Amino acid sequence: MSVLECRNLTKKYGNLTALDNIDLTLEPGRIVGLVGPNGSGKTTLIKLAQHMLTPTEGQILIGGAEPGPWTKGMVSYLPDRDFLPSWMNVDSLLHFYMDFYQDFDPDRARQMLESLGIDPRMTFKKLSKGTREKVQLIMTMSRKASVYLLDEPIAGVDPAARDYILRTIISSYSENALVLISTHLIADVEPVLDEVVFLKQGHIELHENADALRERTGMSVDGYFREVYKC
Amino acid sequence: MLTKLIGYEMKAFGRIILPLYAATLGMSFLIGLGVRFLPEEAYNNFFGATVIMIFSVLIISTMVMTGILCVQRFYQNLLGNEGYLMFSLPVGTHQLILSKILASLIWTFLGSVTALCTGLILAVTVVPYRDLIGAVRILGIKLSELDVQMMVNGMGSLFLWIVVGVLSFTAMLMQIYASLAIGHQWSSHRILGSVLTYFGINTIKGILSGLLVNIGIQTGLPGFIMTQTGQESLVPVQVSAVCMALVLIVVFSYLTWYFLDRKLNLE
Amino acid sequence: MKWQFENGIPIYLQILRKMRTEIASGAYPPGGKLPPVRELALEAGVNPNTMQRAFAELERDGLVFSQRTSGRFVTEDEEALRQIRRSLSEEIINELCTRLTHLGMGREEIRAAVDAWASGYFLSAESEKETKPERELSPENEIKPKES
Repeated sequence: MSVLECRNLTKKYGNLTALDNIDLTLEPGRIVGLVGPNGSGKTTLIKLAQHMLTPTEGQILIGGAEPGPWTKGMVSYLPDRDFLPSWMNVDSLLHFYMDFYQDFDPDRARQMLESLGIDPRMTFKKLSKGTREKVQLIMTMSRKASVYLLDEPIAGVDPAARDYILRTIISSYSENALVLISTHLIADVEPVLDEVVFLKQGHIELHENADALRERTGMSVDGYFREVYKC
Repeated sequence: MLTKLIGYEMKAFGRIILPLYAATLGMSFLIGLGVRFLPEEAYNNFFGATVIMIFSVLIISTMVMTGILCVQRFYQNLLGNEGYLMFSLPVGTHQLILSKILASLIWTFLGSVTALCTGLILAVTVVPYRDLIGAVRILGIKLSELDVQMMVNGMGSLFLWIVVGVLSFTAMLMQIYASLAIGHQWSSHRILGSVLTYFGINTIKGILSGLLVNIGIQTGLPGFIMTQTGQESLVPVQVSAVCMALVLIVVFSYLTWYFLDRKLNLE
Repeated sequence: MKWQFENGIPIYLQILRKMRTEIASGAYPPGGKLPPVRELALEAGVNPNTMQRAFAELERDGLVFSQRTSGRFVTEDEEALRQIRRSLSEEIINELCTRLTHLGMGREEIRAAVDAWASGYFLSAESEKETKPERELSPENEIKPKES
C-alpha cells in the first residue's frame, strides 16, 4: 500500500517547469533519498506534498488523499529553513505541538532535548543556529507520523551534527512510516537509505533500491549520482 | 483548532501590547493624582509638560502598536519563515486567516476599552468625590428629562454606527491582508508589491463606488438619494455602509484565501 | 562508531561478511545473544531494513536462529561454525593467491613464501606467549589457527 503517490504530477512556475509529469509511488517502512542537484525539483515535490504549492496538472496523494488539513495531521515536515518564532521558547513550542498534533510525543521530545542539554526556557532568539536546527529536527521526529518529509536536513551542518541527525532518523524508524530525505549530499546519507529517487530537471531519472543499485552498477550511489549528473 | 489558533495570537499580541496597556493606565492614574494633590506650581512647568508628553506618547504608541501588530502578525507569521510552521498545521487556510482577523478585532476592542479606562481613571482621580457624585446626579436628571423615543433612537443610531465602524475596520484589515497575500506573488520587492496592490484596490474601489452612486442616483434608490439630500434619518446611509463593508469583507476574504491556499509562494 | 563501507558492494553483503567474521571468530560466541536489529543498525549507521536483510541471510545459512520472544542467538552447531570458518578462510586465501599470481608468482613460490612467513609468525607468537604467561585465551571464543 502506497503512502505517497504522484500521478502525472506537473508543476510550472510561469514558463519554468519544475516537475514534469512525474509518476512515483512510495511505501511505508522505507527511508527514501530524494536526490538531485539544486533546482531539480526536490523542494517543489515536498512542498506539493504539504499543500504549500498546488499542482499545475496531475495529482499528489498522501495516504490516498489530496494534501490538506487531514494529511498535514499525518505528515511531519522539516523545511530547509529556520521556522521557529523567535519570541517562543522550547517549552512553549512543545505545548504548541501538543496542542495541534495528536501524534506528538512530548516525552520523547523532552528526553531528546535534555540529552542535548538544551534549556527549555531559552527563547529561540538566544539559541545558536545549530541548536535551533536540532530543536527543529527533534520536534519533527517526535511525532508519530505516517510520512516524514525532511528537506535537506544535513546541508550546512558540521560532521558531529550530521551524525546526530542520521542517528535520530535511524532510531525513529518505524515500519509504518515513510521517511523522505531530500539531499544533494548522498555519500553521507547513503547507508541510511532503502531507496533512491534521482530527480533531474523535473524528471525522475531513476527509482531503485540502494543496494540493488550498488550491485548493478558496481558503484556507490554517490559515485553513480556523479556519473548521472556529470557536467 | 480555531480557538487554539486564536489563543496563540492572543499570546503573541499580548506579550507586546499588555505592558503598554499597563504603562498607559498607570500613567493616567499618576497624572490624575498629581493634578489633584500637588500644588499648581509643581506641574505647571517643564516637569508637567514632560509627564503629559510621555502620557500622549504612550497612548499613541499603544494605538499604533495595535495597528502594526494586526498587520505584522499576518505578514510575519503566515508569509515569513514562520509560515512553514503555520501552514504545516492540520488546520484549514480559512482558519489561519480567521484567527488573525479575530485576534486583531479583539485587541482593537481591548485597546478601545483601555483608552476609555484611561479617561475614567483621569476623571475619577482629578475630580474630588463630591463633585463627581454631583456630576453623575446631574447626568441622571438630564437623561430622565430626555424623550424615551429619542433615547431609543439615539442608542439605535449609536449601535448602528458602532457596527459600521467595526465592519469598515474589518474590511480595511482584510484589504491589507489581501494586498499582502497578492503582493507575495512577486518574486522580489514583495512589500512594494503589496503597497501597490493596496492602492490598486483603492482605485478600483473608488471607480466602482462612483459607478454605484451614479446608478443609485439614476435609479432613485432611497439610500443614495438620502446621501445626496442629507435628510433627517441617517439609517439608509448606515445600512448601505454596512452592506458595502460586508461585500468588501467577502471579496477580500476570498482573495486572501485564494492566494494563500492556491498560490502560496513562501520564500 | 559507525561502520565503514566500501563502494560498489551492496551494504547488506558487507554487513553479512562482517557478522560472519565476528561469529566465526567468536566475537559473538556460540549460543550468545545478538543485539536487536534496531540497536545494531543504529551502531552501524545503516538502514534497519538493510540490517534486517543481513540477519535474514545469517538465519538462512543456519548461523543464527531466532526465538520469537527473546531475540536472535548464534548457533551452537559446531559443524556450521566450522563451515563458515572454512568458507571465510577460503575467501581470504583465494584473494591472497589471486593477488600474488597477479604479481607473477607461481604455485611453488607462493607456497614457499607462505610457509616461510607462517613459521616466522607463529614462532614470534609463541615466544610472546612465553614472555606473557598471564594472558590466557578463552578456548571457546578464540579461533585457533589451523595447524597444517
